Amino acid sequence: MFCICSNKSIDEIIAAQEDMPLPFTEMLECYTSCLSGCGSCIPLILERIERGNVFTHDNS
Amino acid sequence: MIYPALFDSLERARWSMHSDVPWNEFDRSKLNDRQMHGIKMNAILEWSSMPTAEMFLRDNQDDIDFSAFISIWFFEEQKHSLVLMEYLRRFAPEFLPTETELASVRFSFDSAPALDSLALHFCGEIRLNNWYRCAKDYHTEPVIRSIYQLLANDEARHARAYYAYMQRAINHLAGSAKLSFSKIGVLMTNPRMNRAMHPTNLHVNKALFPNDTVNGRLPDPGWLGQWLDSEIRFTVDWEAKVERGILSNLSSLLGEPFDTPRALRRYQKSLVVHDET
Repeated sequence: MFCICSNKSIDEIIAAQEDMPLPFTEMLECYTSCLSGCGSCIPLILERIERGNVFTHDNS
Repeated sequence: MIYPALFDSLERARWSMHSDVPWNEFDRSKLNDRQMHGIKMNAILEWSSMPTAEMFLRDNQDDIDFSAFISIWFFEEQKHSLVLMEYLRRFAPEFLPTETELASVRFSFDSAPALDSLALHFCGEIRLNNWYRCAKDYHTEPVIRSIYQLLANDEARHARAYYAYMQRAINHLAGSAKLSFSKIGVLMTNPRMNRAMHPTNLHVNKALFPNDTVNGRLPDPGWLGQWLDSEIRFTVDWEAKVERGILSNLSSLLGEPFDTPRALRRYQKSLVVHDET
């Protein structure tokens, strides 16, 4: 799957998060354009991150 | 059925013309006549979702799920036209399209294979998302910048919705869907074709030829090319984003790596050969 707003595949976004895990909102801000874009990919990214356990909690 | 979940997600994302457009930030010093003309042309282009919705409903009579989705798509596309016209009504009423100009882009499209139309519009939404993002960068007037961002986001959501129906078609029909989607992907990423590769540039009614493209029926038929080349400057970098968006999503959909349009062409040829044997 490819995120049109970020011009990145979901795999690329997850790989960036694996290299340097960030809190979810910060991750969206740094590695995607989902917050200013359409937002359709956010549930999918969250699911992949939770499944892969490459996650640091917001406000942690 | 995909429609209920799509309805929910699109309703959650829906913006308000009253509260999500910063109308009070308008800055007249940052808008010229040529830009207002472009906004007018885009408003008319968006109005052409009307014959497209009519085509989709006519050609998908056996598909209540997709037809129901088209009700949302049509509503949101008409809203795009309306918000652009509201901008003109408030700030440049002399550029408001007339009803005759809007009516000229409503004409009957010939029947087309439903899967081809689906893939064509999926690619078209990706392209439109990038055109609007580029238009947002080009404009400096804050209200129209905000409107183009809202429109770009809607088009990306529409592309995702079309993708969901393409995935369903792959699951149900496999071979014929793969053949159709790869064929349209080849057409929409062909570098030898005009850069304005969008459904509004295609001939859609043999009886009306050559006056049967949406762009050709605009009050300024040559506008789109000029807007892309000389105004918003839709450069090769932007074109590469469109190409990557189409190829990467088709890769994901068809389960094959397509790094270049050539790879997709090779894949499509292999399907044709397989289909003929």
